[in-house]
Amino acid sequence: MKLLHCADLHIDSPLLGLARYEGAPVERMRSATRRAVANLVDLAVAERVDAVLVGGDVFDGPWRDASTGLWWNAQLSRLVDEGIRVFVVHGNHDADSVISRRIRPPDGVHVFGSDGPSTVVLDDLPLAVHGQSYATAATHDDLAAGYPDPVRGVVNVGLLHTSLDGREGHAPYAPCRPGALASRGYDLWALGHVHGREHHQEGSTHLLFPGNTQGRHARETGAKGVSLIATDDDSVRSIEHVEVDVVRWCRVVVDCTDLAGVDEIEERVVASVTDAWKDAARPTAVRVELVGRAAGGRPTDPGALRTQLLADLAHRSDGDIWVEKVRDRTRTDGAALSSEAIAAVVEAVDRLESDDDTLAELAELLRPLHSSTAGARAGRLEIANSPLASVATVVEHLPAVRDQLLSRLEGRV
Amino acid sequence: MRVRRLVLDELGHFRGHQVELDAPPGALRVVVGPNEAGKSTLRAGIRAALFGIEGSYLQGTPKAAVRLAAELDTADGAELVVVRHGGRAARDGDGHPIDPDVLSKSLGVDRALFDTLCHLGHDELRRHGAALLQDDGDVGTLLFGAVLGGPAVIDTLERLEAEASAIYTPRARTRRINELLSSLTEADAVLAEATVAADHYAERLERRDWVRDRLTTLRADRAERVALRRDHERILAIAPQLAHRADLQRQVDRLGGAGPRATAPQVDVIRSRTASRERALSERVRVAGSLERVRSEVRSVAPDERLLDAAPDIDRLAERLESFRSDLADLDEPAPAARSGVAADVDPAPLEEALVDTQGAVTTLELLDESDARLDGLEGLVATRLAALGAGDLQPELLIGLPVPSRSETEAVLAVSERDAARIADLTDRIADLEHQRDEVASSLAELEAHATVPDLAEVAAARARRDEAWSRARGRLVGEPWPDDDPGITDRSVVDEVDAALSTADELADRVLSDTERATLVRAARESLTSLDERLARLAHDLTEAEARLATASSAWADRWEGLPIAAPTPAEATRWHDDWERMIELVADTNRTRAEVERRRHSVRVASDRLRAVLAVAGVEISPDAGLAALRARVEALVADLASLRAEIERRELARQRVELVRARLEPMLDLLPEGDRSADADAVSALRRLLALALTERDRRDHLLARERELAEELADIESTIAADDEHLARVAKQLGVETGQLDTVAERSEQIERLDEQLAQVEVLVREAGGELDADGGIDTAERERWIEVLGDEIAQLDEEIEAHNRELGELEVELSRIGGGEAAADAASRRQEILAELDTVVEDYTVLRLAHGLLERVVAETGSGRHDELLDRAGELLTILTDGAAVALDVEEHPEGRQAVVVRADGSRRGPGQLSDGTLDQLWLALRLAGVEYHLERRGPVPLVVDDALVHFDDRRASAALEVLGHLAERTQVICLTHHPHLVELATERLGADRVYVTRLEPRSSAATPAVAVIDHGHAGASVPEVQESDSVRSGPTPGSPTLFDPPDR
Repeated sequence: MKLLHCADLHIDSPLLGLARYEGAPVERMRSATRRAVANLVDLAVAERVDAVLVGGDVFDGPWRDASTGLWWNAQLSRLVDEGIRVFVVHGNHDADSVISRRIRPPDGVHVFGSDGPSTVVLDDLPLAVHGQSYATAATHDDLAAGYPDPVRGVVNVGLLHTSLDGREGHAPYAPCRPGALASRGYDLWALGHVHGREHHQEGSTHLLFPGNTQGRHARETGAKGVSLIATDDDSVRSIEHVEVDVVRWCRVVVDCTDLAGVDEIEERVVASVTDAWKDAARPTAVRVELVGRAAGGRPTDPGALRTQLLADLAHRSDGDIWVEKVRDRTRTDGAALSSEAIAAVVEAVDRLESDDDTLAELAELLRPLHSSTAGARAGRLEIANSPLASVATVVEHLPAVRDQLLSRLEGRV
Repeated sequence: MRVRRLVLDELGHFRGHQVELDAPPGALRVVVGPNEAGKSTLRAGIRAALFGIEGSYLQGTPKAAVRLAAELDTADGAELVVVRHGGRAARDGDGHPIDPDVLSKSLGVDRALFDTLCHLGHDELRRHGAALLQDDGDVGTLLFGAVLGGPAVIDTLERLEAEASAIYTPRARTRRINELLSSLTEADAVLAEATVAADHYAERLERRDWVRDRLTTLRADRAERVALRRDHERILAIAPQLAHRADLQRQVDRLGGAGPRATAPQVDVIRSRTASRERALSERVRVAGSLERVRSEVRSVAPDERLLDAAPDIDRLAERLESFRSDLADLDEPAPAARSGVAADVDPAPLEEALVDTQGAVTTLELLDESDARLDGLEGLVATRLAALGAGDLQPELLIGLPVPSRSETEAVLAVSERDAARIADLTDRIADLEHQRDEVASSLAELEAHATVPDLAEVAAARARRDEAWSRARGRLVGEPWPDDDPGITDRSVVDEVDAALSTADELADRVLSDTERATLVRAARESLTSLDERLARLAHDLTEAEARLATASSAWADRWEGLPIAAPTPAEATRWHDDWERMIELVADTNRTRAEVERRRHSVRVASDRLRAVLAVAGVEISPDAGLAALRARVEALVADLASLRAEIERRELARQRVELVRARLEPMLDLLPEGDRSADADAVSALRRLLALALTERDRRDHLLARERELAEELADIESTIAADDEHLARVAKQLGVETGQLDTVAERSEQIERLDEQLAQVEVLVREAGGELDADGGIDTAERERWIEVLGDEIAQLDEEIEAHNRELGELEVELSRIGGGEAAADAASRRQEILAELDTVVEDYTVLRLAHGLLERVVAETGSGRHDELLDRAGELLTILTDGAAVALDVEEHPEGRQAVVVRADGSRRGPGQLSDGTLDQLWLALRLAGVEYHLERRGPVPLVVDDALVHFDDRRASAALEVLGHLAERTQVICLTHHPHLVELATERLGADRVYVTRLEPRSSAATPAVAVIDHGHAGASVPEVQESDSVRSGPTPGSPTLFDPPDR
């Protein structure tokens, strides 16, 4: 028997942080979540799997476009038409989603209810699937604790959306201990919610997060996909991870130590990014981080470097590489060697952190922008997690301000 | 940190140069050279050596090719050589990499500070002097920009403001943030339009299902009302049927009491039998008439019975007469005669016998031709061979018996001749070989005799003795025997040498003796060989002479043997082949004679046969040419035999025909009586007449037979008709009896019965309709028509209303289906959301940029303001002191004036007047800026330690007095740190020497070279200005002290 386990599809959730620029491959970046799901369905059909297990978060919570639900139904219909069983539990995003509430899946797809755990035992397959959907997004109960006892003589799969014992960056929903899951006596816990791939084995029980099917922003880096599980009559034989993502996010860290000047830094960055793109073998969005001790002062203005990299890499990759951001995290102890003017700036910045009056004065400089962008900032801009015209915003930006001033006073810009 | 020396191995014009840059404390290092001499390259070289090479080129040299080094006194007092080669990491003088942190600490200054603090150029003086005016002496700007080393703070502030404003300005439209916000609003609208809310979709879906259900209900209601209305209409339709039923009943009643009523079968019998009887009566009349007419015709027909009886004979005679018609014609022709002209009674038997007997002669005649041909061939061959033998004129017959030599005789002569010839050839070859050998031996002997010496065997024997003695001594030494004379000088080495020498001498002599002996032996052998060869040559010559004599004798005898014969004598070798031809020819001659006799015999037999044929032809009376040959005779006889056979057959055939005609005529004779008198003529006409009469008689007989058959058929038909009429009468009488009426009344009874039957059927149909509507009828069994019609109208109205409602719902259902199908699974909303996110992403970046720029601007403004707030006024005091020196006392101090817009620096002149920057001359502005910058350098030196100061033509616009003052200030500064002055003005050296003294001015001259054969620049280190000018060295560089610049400096051992 062959199973395909996927989770956290987040269909139609747009990729975040990809600013448009001239020549940007926007069309290839769009609909990435859909194309990843289509790849998933193609894979299930090609591999002739017996069942597809969906571990929750099919939709993005606030997304309410019915077309998304209808498209997902069309994909489900493709699976059903091929005789593939589909089992779905709703995750926190689905519980919030008006789509999952209002658009019913096609016949042949089993969506577990949220009233309590239940079990589906198949007549023609040695498979028992246990599952429970979220009733609401903020589900803090240990749902796994109530899952039924395993069915003898078949492969038992627990389908659950959970943060397990806690994962950074993921809300602690349906928390539970790996040991507790293992003690249920199932062969496989097909889990969702955590976007990175994880595979644990507790005794004969496999705990599997396949990760999401498509990275959506710079923090969701690396290959994304699904898990193919081969079973014997009553146990898991093998687990294989298969990539289905259509766009890859990468974080490329370049050590600038000993690199003399912008040319060498750019050369090193281009080589590293190109390697990452070749490894990914698909369109790639890259966040570049410059680290190390830059010889002869700070390397360059990150914005200018990004502009240069965009042009160079787009040419090399036929538009397959997208530099999302360049962060300069190089360290320099130039202040000790540089002019009194620079020392004065450094000193001023250092003093500023405890100078509430000056901070408030500086914050007021941002007041007009704060007013203009109020609408756009409503939870949608990265910068706008706190009010723009606030002391906190000023403090948050002091390192960048200091770098900016030093770059100019040192004549690098 | 001080830069003591710079090595420029490859940079710009410099190739393998070293430049001294250091000078003792308090002394200036002045590098002087005209424009393009390399001052800028020197400055760039210092900077690159300290901080690495930026960019792809440095002073026109590709980065990878640049090679330079600097010899330093580091900030912590150590010595360090920094080597730079292209983009590689810095290495020390031993080729080891220098840790960047170590290098950074050693320098005590970074690249940016070096650029801003350690370099002072004339363009900078001018530019910043002008900047002083721009900010009108704002103390903060002065101190921050000029003194503290922050260049162009005003520029920086302006650029920050411009860049921030370019990104965002409140209420502007074309700024990036403003544009993005506008785009975001549009994207929101697009997204809202593209998004089909799932709630809305579900509501539409539910509405569609409701409409579907409602349509089902409405259609059911409508169907119910339509059925009800149909019932009412059906009942209303019964009313006419009720009236019709009453009318029918009345008609039945009217017909019912008028007499007997026949049943349907009875009516059928009456109708069918009556019709049948009437048809039979009519038929009987017709058939009886026909019968009478036929009988009348039969009586009128009478064929000739005699002719009919004779009919077979007439036909047979006619057929025979027809077949003999040609015979009859032939008989009329005269009798044929023989074509050959002989009489028909000639007996052909002798002719046929002669043909048989002469058949063999024909074969003989054919063979005779072959024999003639063969004879001709043989005679030709004989002639050819005779010619070949040279006896063409001879009669062949004469050849037989000629005494030519026999084959065995010829072979014997040939064998002897060949053997002698071979012997002669062999002897000739051997004599030639021996003569050649003799020449070689004679030549070798002459050579050997010329070099022959006598060996000195005594000398050989002596050498052998010495050898044996030496060897003996050596062997004794080896086995430990004492020497005969205990000579201490004899050592193992000397013995070995002695043995070697003795052996060598003995061997050499032996070789030489051996060589002489061998040569003598060879001379003897050669002489003997020569003698032997001469003897053998003599013997062979004798044998040769004998063989040649034998051969001549044999040839003569052979020629004699052919003497007298009519044939030329061949050689014995030719005679071998001649014998074959001779014998063949003899056979040919014999064969020719035999063939000729055979030919003669065959000719004789042909002549006999011809005579026989000629004789039989004469008997038959046929004339024949006396020249006719056997073939012509036979052909004539064969033709005669055939002609006679044909004539006899024709005579027989005509006789047979005549006999058959006679027989037919005899048969015809008795029948002529049947013909009229006039027709009894010729045979053929009589037969034709008989046949015509016979045909008429036969036709007549056929017609009579046909009429008799027709008569029988009509009689039978009439009998059938009579029978039918009787049966019909019987049936009708039976039915009339059953009904109790007369037979003549049956039609009337049947008519009435049928009318009643039809009425009964109509009544039954009406009864069914009425019975079906039985429950709907009113209580009295009737129908309330008005009430029913009212119900129908009401139901019609309700159905129309339902139709309208159904149509409206159908329309709505169609619209809903279209709307739902349009929603589909498209990604328009997802695309719009992506586009919106792209805008947000850029907005995020740009807002971030703006925030940083705006805060940086605000912060820098505050730092500058704070700098000028009084914290650094002592720097202004020091700058004032320096300005006093630089102006030779024209200015006495810098002071600060408080103004509402800020604190402003003013120059206090010696006369007590106070002038702001705007009131100063260009030269004074330059001096003011120089004073401020030097105060800044001093400030740094106090706090951070010494760093080199490169004054790059900064004093070019100063007059001598001001330049001299500036040099004095720099001289003071040189007591605390390294000061390097780059200038293209040699006069500056004089001014410095004059102001500071020769021992405080160290000069390096850069001289550009134009020769292609030498480096492009010469560097001449003068040492201090008081020293004599050194000669230019071959290397075009002057080195002092240890040389760091060796070839290995740029080629470290670890590479």
